[in-house]
Amino acid sequence: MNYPVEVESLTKRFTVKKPLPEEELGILKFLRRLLQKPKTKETILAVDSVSFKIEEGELFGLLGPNGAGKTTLIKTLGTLLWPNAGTALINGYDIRREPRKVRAFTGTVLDIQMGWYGRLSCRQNLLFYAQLYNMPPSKIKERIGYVLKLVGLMEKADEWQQKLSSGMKRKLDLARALLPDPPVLLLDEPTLGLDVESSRELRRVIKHELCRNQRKTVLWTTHNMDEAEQICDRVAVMHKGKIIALGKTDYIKSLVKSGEVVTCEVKMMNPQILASIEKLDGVISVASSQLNPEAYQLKIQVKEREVASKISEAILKGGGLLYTLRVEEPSLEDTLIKLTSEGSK
Amino acid sequence: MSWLSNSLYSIYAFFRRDAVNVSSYKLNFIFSIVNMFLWALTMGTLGQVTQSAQAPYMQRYGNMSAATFMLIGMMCNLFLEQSQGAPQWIANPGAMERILLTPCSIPTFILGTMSWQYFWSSLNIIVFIFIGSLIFGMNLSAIDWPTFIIVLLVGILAMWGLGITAAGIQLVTKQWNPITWFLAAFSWFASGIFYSPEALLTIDTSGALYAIAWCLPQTYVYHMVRLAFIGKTLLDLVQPLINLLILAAVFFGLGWFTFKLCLRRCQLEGSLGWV
Repeated sequence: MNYPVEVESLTKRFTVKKPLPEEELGILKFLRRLLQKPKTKETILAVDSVSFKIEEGELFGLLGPNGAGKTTLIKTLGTLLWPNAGTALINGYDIRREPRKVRAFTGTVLDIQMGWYGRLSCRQNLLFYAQLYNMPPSKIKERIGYVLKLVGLMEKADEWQQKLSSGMKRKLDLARALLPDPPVLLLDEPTLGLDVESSRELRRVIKHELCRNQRKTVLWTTHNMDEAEQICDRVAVMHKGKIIALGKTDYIKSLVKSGEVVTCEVKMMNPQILASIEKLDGVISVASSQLNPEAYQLKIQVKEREVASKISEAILKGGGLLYTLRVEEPSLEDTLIKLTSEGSK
Repeated sequence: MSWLSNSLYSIYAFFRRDAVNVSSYKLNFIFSIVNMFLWALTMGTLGQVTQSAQAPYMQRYGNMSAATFMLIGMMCNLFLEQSQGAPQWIANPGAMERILLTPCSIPTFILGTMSWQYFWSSLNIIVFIFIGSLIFGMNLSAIDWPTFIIVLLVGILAMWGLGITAAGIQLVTKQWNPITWFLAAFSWFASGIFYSPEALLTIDTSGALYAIAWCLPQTYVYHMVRLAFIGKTLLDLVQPLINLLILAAVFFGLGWFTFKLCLRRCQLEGSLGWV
């Protein structure tokens, strides 16, 4: 098996100065800063001994809440940050020993769009980066045309970068990452700021064109659980710098024994209905929300799907009108919330 | 040799980027060219106006005119100040983080970032020499060009040292480095752009300012380039050249070490992309 990305016990710590307490703001803070060196520092373990491997042509999702360490991990793999312990091999090159070779074989999209020159056209900007990647002049024009077409920016090729919308700028980020035709792509929230249609199209391009057809290996961070569920071959859930779950999305969902969710739409709702549902055997929790002046939506977490029939009986007995009822598996989002809250405990 | 051709190719990329960017501001671009001529005319005129006051200090430079003296000072200053200031542009957080994701090396990055500015300064020098010889009687026949170029290159190396040190500090502190600003301002005052450093003895008879002025690499560059303009060769300038080489070695070594240290600290702290 070929693993273009191999991460081994990678650890990244940051030492940060603690902010002064509220009561010391203003003149006291100024004097303290002036007179003494701040001693209050704390160490944050942004990436805590993380290990995983990604197969060739695999789309690997990195999920987690804000501050989980996803961007730090991407930046460390992209050689922008120096790890404190452990290492990673990108296409066989060690990020510590051969960072320039790692960069030559990696295309990276960071969460913040930087390094663009507003008064250069998209084509001119890409030409600049293509030359920094030492691409042969004879191939540059063709490659720029190809990546612009792939991300859907061909029509904007000769417009100034500063005139693009934020979504288009995001696409240009991806075009830049693809320029040197790298076997490994590190994508930090690549669909951030894109509209639904562009986002779907970009996911299709990355999944089918880049991963399936061109066998590129992709590490993709996202907050969007639906996105991860739809396109990722495997996902890792990060929380407080650690990987707390890793595998196919079905496997991740199976890790949390949260039963199933019964969702129903009820008219002529009253408090007795809610009370009777809560008393039923097998009901874990009940949440209600008003859809419109007449109808309510109930989301009932149950231990097993058989409880659904008892729920419909309770609604009818209580004088409610049951419009719809469906039983669903918990989504990856439900699982992630559960996993990270358990991780916090 | 592939690393050399790759580096030159990358430097060309930076040059091309800046050329396209600068020329996109068309009015600004045109007036920058007009400004070159105005600067040269201003310096030459200022030299002529102060001719009698400067005359006693011109003896060691073969009694060259004050206008030539000032034009030489100003055109060398363009190169030296750019060499000191330009490395700090690379500390622009967004651009740097992005460039560091490519295989481009740090020296190539620094040279590439400065390439357009050097080209522009070279154009300035041509304009200064043209105006100087056409209007202010600058004598070009005696110039020892190898001495002129070598002295300027060693001076640039020394100023890179200061610039790279400042860029490193700026990477960590995220603040414009006041030391660089002070050194530039002090150089305008003491190193001999407009008047010979000997003139400092008229305001400070103890000679302290004069002694400090000769600790600056700029002072040696202006002095030796002016001597190159009256035909002195490197063999005539061994002692000041050795002094300049020592300053260049110390400043450049210190600068490179500081920059690498600061960059590593940023990579450890994760503050490379901070503004």
